[in-house]
Amino acid sequence: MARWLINMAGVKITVRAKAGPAEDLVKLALSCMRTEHISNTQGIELSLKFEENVWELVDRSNNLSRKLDQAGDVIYHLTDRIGFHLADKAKNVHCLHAASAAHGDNALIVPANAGAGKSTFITWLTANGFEYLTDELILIDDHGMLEGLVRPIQIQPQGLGAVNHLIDSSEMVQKGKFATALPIECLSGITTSESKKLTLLVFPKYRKGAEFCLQELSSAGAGMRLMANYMNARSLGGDGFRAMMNLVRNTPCYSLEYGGFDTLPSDFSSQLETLLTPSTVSHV
Amino acid sequence: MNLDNHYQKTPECLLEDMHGEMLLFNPGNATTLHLKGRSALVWELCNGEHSLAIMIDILKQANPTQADQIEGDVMAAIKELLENEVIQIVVGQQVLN
Repeated sequence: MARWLINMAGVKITVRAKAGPAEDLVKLALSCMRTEHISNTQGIELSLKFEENVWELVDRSNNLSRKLDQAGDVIYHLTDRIGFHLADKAKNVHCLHAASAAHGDNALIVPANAGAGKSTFITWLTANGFEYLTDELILIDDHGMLEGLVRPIQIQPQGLGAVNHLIDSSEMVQKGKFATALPIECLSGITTSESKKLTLLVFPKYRKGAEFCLQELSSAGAGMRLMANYMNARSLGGDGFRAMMNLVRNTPCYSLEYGGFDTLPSDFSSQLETLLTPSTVSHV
Repeated sequence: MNLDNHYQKTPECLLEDMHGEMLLFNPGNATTLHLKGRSALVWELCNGEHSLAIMIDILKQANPTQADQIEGDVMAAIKELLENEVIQIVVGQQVLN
């Protein structure tokens, strides 16, 4: 039996796996996260076993047991549970439903609901030289320093066609019905679990047939979009709202509409790198 | 909608001026509203003192050339503010929830 401890923002989560395929899969799912091996469970426990060709994922804290037959779905649900508990219990940080990538010390975040194309967009960024931080959840403090839930990128079935050409080595890809997991190594990408400075917000929208359009957003427009992806709106109330509005006021915010990666300008990653370089960014 | 109704702001709501545009947050239901155009003025007038009819009159006097559309705009704004629970109806000294 192997145990990994994830300790972020005051939340301790132990992932426990039986030796064999379950241990190998958890190792892959957590390979980019900051974890430590432990001998006894601490905090919330998630466990995984593989018997008779079926994976069983158990989250005792929520009395939840899930049987799955595809490795990609196991990674999806396991990392989803980790994200859920972090967002639910994290202390002294704000949680956003957002993808994130960095260049040097600076990070952009891509807040969006499911289906807006944030995972495929972050896959493109990772394959184009940005450091991958997360495709799902960021934790950000009042000084604009953020860290992400660094899990394999989860691509839903309808998005796979858009990123296939970005995958360098397909043998590590873990297929699933809910989502296919792309470990960062598949993209010859790099990743980090270090904190980065938030210097840019991009709100993406994939629309079939759309022309490329990158536009600066008004603070109010960006504030509305950010609040739609703010996971602590109920628990942090007014303090969280004020913090998010300060973030928006002090950070350049853009909307991005595109109809596929072939509609992006050839120098788009350089454009983003330039936008990421802060002039005078200040936070709360 | 009763023109004699009076409205007041839900006390715990927060307003932020985002470079001239107003965002309103209700911590009670975690809703954020973008107060566009007349909505911001209607929100300001919801102080418990003005009836809906008076609010309409105030805005008509301030914008006489747009008098025809003001009643509809104010009604729509009040409806949206009520639906998102950022204002409350006041009857006498009592707030109706």
